[in-house]
Amino acid sequence: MKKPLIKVKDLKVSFYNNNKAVEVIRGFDIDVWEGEIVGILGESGSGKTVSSTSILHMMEKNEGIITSGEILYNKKDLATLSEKQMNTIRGRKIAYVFQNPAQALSPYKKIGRQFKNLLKNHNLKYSSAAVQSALEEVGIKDAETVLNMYPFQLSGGQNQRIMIALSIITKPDLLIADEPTSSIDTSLIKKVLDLFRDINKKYNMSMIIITHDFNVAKYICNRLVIMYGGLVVETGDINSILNNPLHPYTEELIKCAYSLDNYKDSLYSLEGAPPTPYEFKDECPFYSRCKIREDECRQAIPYMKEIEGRQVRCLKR
Amino acid sequence: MSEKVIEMTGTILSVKNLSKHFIIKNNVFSQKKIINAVNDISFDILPNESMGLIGESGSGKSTTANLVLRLLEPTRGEIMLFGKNIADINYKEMRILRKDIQIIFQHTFSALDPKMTVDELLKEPLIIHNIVPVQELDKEVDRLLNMVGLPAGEKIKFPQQLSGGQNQRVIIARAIATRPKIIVCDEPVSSLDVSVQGQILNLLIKLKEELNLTYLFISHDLKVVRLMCEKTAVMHEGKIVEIGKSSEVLFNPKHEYTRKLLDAEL
Repeated sequence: MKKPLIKVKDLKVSFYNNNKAVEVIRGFDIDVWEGEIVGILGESGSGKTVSSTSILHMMEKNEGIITSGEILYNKKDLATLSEKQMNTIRGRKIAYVFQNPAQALSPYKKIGRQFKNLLKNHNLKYSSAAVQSALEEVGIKDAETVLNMYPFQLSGGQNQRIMIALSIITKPDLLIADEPTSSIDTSLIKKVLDLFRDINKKYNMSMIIITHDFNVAKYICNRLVIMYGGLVVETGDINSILNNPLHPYTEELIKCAYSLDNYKDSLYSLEGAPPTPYEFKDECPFYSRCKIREDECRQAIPYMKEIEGRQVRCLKR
Repeated sequence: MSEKVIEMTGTILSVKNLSKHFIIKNNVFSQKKIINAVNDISFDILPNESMGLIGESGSGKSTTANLVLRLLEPTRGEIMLFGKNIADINYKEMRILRKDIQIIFQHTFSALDPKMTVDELLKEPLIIHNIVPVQELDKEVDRLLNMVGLPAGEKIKFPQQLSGGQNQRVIIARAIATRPKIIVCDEPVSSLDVSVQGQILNLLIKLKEELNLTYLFISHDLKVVRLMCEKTAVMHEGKIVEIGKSSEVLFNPKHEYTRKLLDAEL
């Protein structure tokens, strides 16, 4: 029997710049079930990273504040928890793999020391056998040597694997991976995604994979959340989204990706650019680029509709 | 002049036995280590024929691009641009030749001076290479903007006020301003969003036809190379392991490494 693990409802996040509030996330909803891999797909600036870092209160150093909404996890609302309470969850129950692994690891500490610090912070016992097996699990064979090295002595792919090993050693319930494939080489993408899937199967660990690449989502995700202009515009399982996209933005995006794969005379392209948070208005975020727009789309931000178990934020569907 | 040479030699760019070695010395006591970033590569690019250069990071693609533009000094070998070996001409002569060979960079935000407006950015190459008389500069800037599909109103803006795709258009306008014969594109779309990538690639295809351009196209994205280039070279550890028509290299690879690259594609 599958149970929902985490449920985020109508999350809104604002950033303060010179005492002026800029709302960056205007409505973020996501459900993750046990053992499921959910992808968050969107263009740069659509709010993928901010919304998932706010789950763990990690944008507070940059003056980002959750203004409304709730994050239900384990009968608790993470949005209201204090920093001290969050420390027992962050990295322990919900782990985060950052986009740039070489920068996320401390440059001054050997890999072994980074594992020791992590386990100490979570009051877990350090055992070299456990660390070595975690490293072997992510495909690092020569664990002994690697533990005595600094991050800069290792390649990007190896650092990425170490980041993943650091996240899974506490056996979290949920792993959030921010663009796990963007900083590594094309020839390694498949291997890293396979690794994520193996971990998912082995520990029944739920995952949120943030990506801008349709092919990555198609390869690994069960379900997809599509973001545009700080809003979730469509959610649904991967096959129904790919075969029958409901939101016009999703449809255009699939056409773009498809045309790159199957080039005929010219590439299909979407004119214009997504709105930046300074340009957000109370209208459909996709209005300026939409092909089926009508005047009523400008009245207000469309609400989420439920169609055959899928959700879409479009008035025309 | 260059048209004549192209007719005579048949190639725009011809690289022969090109090598670049970097000498690494970590500290005073350590032994010198030689890294063969580019190791004895040769290729020819014919007029109006684009060549793709693919390979993993660290295989020497970008070093090759920098050598061809002579932003790096080659260790050995010949680089014949319009029949002239640019590996041993002096700085002054190279400066004149730079008009004919331009580059489009990967990172759209770091390739443009943040303190210059679009107008100034586009005038800079026009003035340096003396392309049009001073009184026609404004008209020429408008023409370039029109060609790359930017509204003339964007002229007064600074790069940080533009989106990634718009910045890439400015970079392309700068590259075509000097009326080059060949443009080196170093991962021109990899930092852009999927919905914008198509716009930029369409623009590059359109300009290629309109201006009779030739591209040396560097990318790790096989799809983009498949679409843009008639010819493809595969680099691995500083060497070209396979070179030929894109339709053969990318669909029916002979070399084991190319096969590995194709298999890794999602």
